[in-house]
Amino acid sequence: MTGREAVLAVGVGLLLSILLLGCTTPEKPTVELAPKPQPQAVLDITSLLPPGGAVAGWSRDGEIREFPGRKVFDFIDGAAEVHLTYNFITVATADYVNEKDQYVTVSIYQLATPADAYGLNSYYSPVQGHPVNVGRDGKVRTGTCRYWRGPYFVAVEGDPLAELDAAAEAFAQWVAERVPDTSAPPEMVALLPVGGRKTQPPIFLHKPLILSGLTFQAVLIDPASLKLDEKTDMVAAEYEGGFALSITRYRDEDSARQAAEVYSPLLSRRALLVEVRGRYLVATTSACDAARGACEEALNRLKPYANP
Amino acid sequence: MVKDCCHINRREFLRTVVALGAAYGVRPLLGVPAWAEAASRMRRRPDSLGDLESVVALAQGKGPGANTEAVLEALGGIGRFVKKGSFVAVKPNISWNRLPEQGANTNPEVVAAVVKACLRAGAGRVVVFDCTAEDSRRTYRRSGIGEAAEAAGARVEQVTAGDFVEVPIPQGKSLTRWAFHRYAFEADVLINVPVAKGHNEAVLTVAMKNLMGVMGGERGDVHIDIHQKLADVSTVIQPDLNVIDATRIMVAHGPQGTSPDDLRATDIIIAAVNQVTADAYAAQTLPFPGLPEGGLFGYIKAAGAMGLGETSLAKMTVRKA
Repeated sequence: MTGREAVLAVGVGLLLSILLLGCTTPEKPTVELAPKPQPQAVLDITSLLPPGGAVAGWSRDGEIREFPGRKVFDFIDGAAEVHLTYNFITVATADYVNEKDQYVTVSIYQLATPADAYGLNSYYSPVQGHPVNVGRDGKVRTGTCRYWRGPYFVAVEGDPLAELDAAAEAFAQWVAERVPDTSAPPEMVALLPVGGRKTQPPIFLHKPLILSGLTFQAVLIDPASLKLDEKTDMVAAEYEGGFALSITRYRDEDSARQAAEVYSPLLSRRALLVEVRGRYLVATTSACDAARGACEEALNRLKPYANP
Repeated sequence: MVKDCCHINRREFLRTVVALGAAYGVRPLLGVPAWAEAASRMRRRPDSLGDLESVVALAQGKGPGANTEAVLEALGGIGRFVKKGSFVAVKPNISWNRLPEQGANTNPEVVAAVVKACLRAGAGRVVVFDCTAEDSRRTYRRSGIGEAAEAAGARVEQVTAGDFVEVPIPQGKSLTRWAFHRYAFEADVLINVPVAKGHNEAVLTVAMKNLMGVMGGERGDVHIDIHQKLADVSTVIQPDLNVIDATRIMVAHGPQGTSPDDLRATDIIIAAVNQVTADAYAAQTLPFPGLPEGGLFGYIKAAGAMGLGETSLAKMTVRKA
């Protein structure tokens, strides 16, 4: 083989090798992987409770107590049923007393998700409380302060005295500064019309809460008939004009339609508005103009989510 | 037809004996048979109160103490229930570490009025107790009931683990045996003094729900199928008298409450010998908003179906004091 032939042979060989390599090792599409979630440090919920003296003039009375799972009934008896509907995990609680023998109890509830924490706070949030800049949706009312932050609902409950408002807020702030803020309110809250809305924060729940102070339930229908369960989500609020509006997301369209049928006998008698869009059901407790307007706005907000 | 709770028919008696015998096994003929001992662990209202089974007494507007006195008179006076030398157990709701004005516990003036009436009738011993949800050392004090009851002449007792006896519940559909405070069986007279409040799963807590305060064991377990279980309890625990404190009712966020917004001042006391009738009357007449099934829900309906008490308002005799 002459030198020229050798160069040609090497060149062809190289070319063939390149081609062969290309055939045997097909190029894989690159996939941008999400970064591996970093393992989060397990937070000891009891460490979030203030020590004695954390708020001036208040000492801790007794031991810190924790009630995980169904043990929560030993803490708050039947009230625990509400917490369980919000995927409750555990609660840590401690009592504090001052020299006047006045009491404050600080309880930190851990729920499964920030949405659940939002929901539990929305259930307990006092209608006439005044908002405070503590946690998320913080409110103070005669010696109590409640808010949510991340997957935690924090309840500071003192004797029903306005003079304890400042102490309640101080305890609440102490805890808020130590609770990681991974807060994300339920996305459905954004579906509720804002104009004329009286309920703040709007209610978020999975299951009907009888005698919860949610007057719309009393007006609408027996909540058990609405087929709400752990897999459903409902947001609701009361509005100027004396009506309430609720939006319920069911597991599928059939469930939403079945729930709408439950309302049918009431439609003519009670002047309700009921609309179904995909697996969402919108209902109002009145057919007045303001309610119609709110219903239309809710349906507009639903368009990107509901399949027509 | 409403079954007369003071009498059991032959078939029911035999069923009960067989169930108890199976539960306790065969015991020697010498001594008290186990089934007889266990049978004594049922509390039935005495026959002497049979004429009051469907009677409800109602007082309003006089304040908690005076209303309480008035309903007792309307039922024939405390002497119908308490005899000279009686051991009386009074069971209010003292569950919560709350002040009286927060409405989570029985009004201390109501408890005091009941205690005083019993002592006036010649009771030999009046004990006030409750198996509380929160720390009883605090709840007895902060509720005001401990102090009011002692000032009225009662002995206020803390509950201990050794106070409970486990008994079978032969007619129970969901609860077939459970541990109860011994006073529920040992007292000559059991007076149940609940406060009327909303409750989530149970809907209302009044007389039948208040009897959870004589129950031991895991509270969480009782809350599973709670309505049937409350009806089942009423087959073995039948107070002589139920005095319902509706001075201030908690209409939202019960049983703890969240703020004064949850309370309605009604200034009412309701009394009845039959706890099912008492609850049915309370549920259908007190201003709790939006009760399911017109107030004849859950445990009230279940107990009515078991023949444990009259639930129809039309068939009750209401004595307004």
